[in-house]
Amino acid sequence: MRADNTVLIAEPYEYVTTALIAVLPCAAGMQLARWLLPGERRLLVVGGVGSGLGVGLATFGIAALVQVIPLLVAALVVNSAGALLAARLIWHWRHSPLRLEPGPWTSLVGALLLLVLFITGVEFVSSVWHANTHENLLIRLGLAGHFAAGNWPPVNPWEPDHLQFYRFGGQLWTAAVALLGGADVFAAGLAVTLIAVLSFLWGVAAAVTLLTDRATGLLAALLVAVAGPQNFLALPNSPFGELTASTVQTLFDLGTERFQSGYVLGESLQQLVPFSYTRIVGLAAAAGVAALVAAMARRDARRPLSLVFGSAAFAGMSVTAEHLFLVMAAALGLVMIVLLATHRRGSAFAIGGLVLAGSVLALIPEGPLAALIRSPDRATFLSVNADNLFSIPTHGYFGGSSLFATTTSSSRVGLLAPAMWKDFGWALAGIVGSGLIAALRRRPGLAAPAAAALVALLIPGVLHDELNPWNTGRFTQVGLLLAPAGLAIVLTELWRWRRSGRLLARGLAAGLAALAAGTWILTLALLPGLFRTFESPVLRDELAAADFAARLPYPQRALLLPGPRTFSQLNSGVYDGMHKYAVTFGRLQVPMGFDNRGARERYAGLYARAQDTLASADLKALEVDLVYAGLDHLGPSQRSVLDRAVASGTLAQVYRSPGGVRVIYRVMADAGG
Amino acid sequence: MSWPTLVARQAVTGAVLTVAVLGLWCAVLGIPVEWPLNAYRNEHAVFRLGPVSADVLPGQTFGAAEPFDLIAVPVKVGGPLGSAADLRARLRAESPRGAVVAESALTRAVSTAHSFQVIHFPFPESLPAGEQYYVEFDVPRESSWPIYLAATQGDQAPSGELLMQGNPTFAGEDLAYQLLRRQSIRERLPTWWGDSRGAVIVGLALVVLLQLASWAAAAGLPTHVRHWLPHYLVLGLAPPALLAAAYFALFFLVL
Repeated sequence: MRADNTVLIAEPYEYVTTALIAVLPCAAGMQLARWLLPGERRLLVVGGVGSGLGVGLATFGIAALVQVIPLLVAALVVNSAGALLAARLIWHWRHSPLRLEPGPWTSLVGALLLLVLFITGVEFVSSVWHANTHENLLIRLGLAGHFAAGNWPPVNPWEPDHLQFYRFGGQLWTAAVALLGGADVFAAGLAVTLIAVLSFLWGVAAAVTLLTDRATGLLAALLVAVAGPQNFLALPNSPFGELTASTVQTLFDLGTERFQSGYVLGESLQQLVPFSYTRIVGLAAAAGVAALVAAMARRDARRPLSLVFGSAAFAGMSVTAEHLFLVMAAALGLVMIVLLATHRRGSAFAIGGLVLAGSVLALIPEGPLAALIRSPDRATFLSVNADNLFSIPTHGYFGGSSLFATTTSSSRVGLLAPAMWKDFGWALAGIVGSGLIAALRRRPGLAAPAAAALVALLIPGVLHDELNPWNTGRFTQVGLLLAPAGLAIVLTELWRWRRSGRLLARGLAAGLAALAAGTWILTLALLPGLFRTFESPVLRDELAAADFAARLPYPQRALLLPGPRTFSQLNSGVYDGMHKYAVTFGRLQVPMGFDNRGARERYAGLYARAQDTLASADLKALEVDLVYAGLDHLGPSQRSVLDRAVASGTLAQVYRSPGGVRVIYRVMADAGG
Repeated sequence: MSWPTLVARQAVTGAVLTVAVLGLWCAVLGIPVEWPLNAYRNEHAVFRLGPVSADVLPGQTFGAAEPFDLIAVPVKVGGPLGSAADLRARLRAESPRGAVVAESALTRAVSTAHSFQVIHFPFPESLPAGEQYYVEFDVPRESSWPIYLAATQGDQAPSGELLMQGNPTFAGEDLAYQLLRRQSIRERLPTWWGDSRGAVIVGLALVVLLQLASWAAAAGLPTHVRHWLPHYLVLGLAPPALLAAAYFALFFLVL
């Protein structure tokens, strides 16, 4: 890791090695897809099924093996298998290449994919160094860093006496990529994010291609990448300009701090990248499974083998993003019912078997489902009732106050309420429209993306998280990410309209596409704003101190001075985000308490007291080894407390950063104070 | 249509399009717009200052890191919607007792539905950087409506302080103001390059990628359509230029 303010924070070779290792599961998945789909030679389909499947299998394999062997060995085993399959793919390609089927729009698809991946990279890099946005640095890369250091079973670095039993598949994969690539978790996270986005979009394209045709599939992937709320419509009426002389500057500021406002580009794939990149890893696996199921429903796939690999990828998806388990299980259940109704029992039972086997396999890793089965008391925060079935929560997921451009006073909004049409009209049009097309054409498969989106949108109306309502927002988000696939079916139908009113139909298609992509297009111009400033003005010192801490034997428990005490401060960039860099790159455990479901009460009081006194007894009560101090943020009273602790022998300085603003002290075991 | 006529028409439309594209890029890069040189670090710290009057002149000392041409201040005119007052910004050297350096023309502030209206006070000529200034606002004595300015807490502008009738107010209070410099994007680029190289690189990469996508889209048009249009390399130049012009118009002229 480079400790200077350059764009290339990691060493150049780290980007190459991590990219090569992260792409391995996708290549391996493609070879598997060749076996699973014997009659399929289209690169779009085989690649889409295979890359997503590969991501799911890799996350499952690592999560399952790491319970019995060290992470490095588990990573070696999984990637060795991946390498063999990738070699087989390359060897096989010489005799029987997959068909690219170039068309007039192939170059455009390539150029747009490059653009989407570039934006993904910019968003991820910015989320770590420039905007420090919520979960990526706080816990996603943080936990990955700790995994790489040997943290297993998965202890939550913010609650070091407790396991984090949920949502860690993506972090494990990141840690595996970092270990094998000899790289830092930042470079590994970037590689994993890029590969996951590529696999997700490719999987969507493959699944929709299998349901319809290639053009619709590619359009679906493009729309999934760019669709967002129709915020751009509200821009002229926004309060920008009330206090600033320059709207563009305000928008630029929102560009880096969108997560405080949630305004410019609300819930969308592009926002998911800087917020919580590992969820895209789960989405990639889900897309691979969905594409495989589409092939199985068409009887194009070898069912027994598909069942085995599909269920393992399904389990990998569940370990990485547990809420996708519910969405996929319910959506595939619907598919099974339709197949049974249309007398395709073989496909129906195969898909049902995939879900069942996937659910069983998901219990093997120490994941969320396993935890809930083994300790049902952990599920007491969940309640099930259908009182609000046809409504969705209005809170903004990405830190904004509302899911909608304008804040609503109600905590829920009806699925067909005016607010939904105003902000997500294209999504409703996509769901309703593709359902109608499927019914009129008697092709139930065309309704599959819309049905999955609808299921995801309906789940928060049935399942309630009493401790953290934001968790149910994750389902809403998945619904909004799936709806563009339904919209693509509507748009191609309108564009190919052959009856009277063709111009009107094409105008309508263009209008719907503009509604879906308008905010993304507007946001493009703001993208450079993400790199405008570094969040930490002393990043060089921060990384140097973190590097020192990371070289100490793992684990080290640290108290941050000053540092966040509350959950909202934890999520903020308070003190230039020092706490996140210390935990993620310094691999420090900070016993301050993390989320609602954790053990915050156990730590909060003790941690605050220890910060106030730095007394030996208070530090020992938390079993703290180190005090990580940001001298540039210390007030006079904290400074004098620190000086007293050093003078009394409670603390001994072990490191001072080159600029002198970060100092690490060792808590002395024999101190009396 | 005969083949030579078609080729000639393609050449003419291609030439016209090239000139139009160049014109758009020149406009986007060359038209001067107002760039804020500072921003409030925390908009939540903004409070209403006043009513101010001819007897209690509000002012602020500040240092300018860059030359500036205007100062913008959020103003609230009390009274019914549409009530107006003419204000003037006067710039002095260093302090309230310093010599007058520049004076803006009278600028009208109008009561609106918003809590504040940002008023721009342009100075007759550009003011140099590296100096300490004091700005005060003339409030007309005959104004029948209360007038408020916006101020901030928490020392949002560390290089200066808020003064009322020449006397400092509470510590950490500042006028909510923005200095602006009138420059074109072309003139502004070196400043951006110095301040944030990463942002400039991302911007340039974005333009290149959009250009590639545009050429790919133009090349993908059906042959019977392309017959009527200029060569795809020329045609593909248009969308990025149009997009850039649209962003420019939206951000600097519409919003």
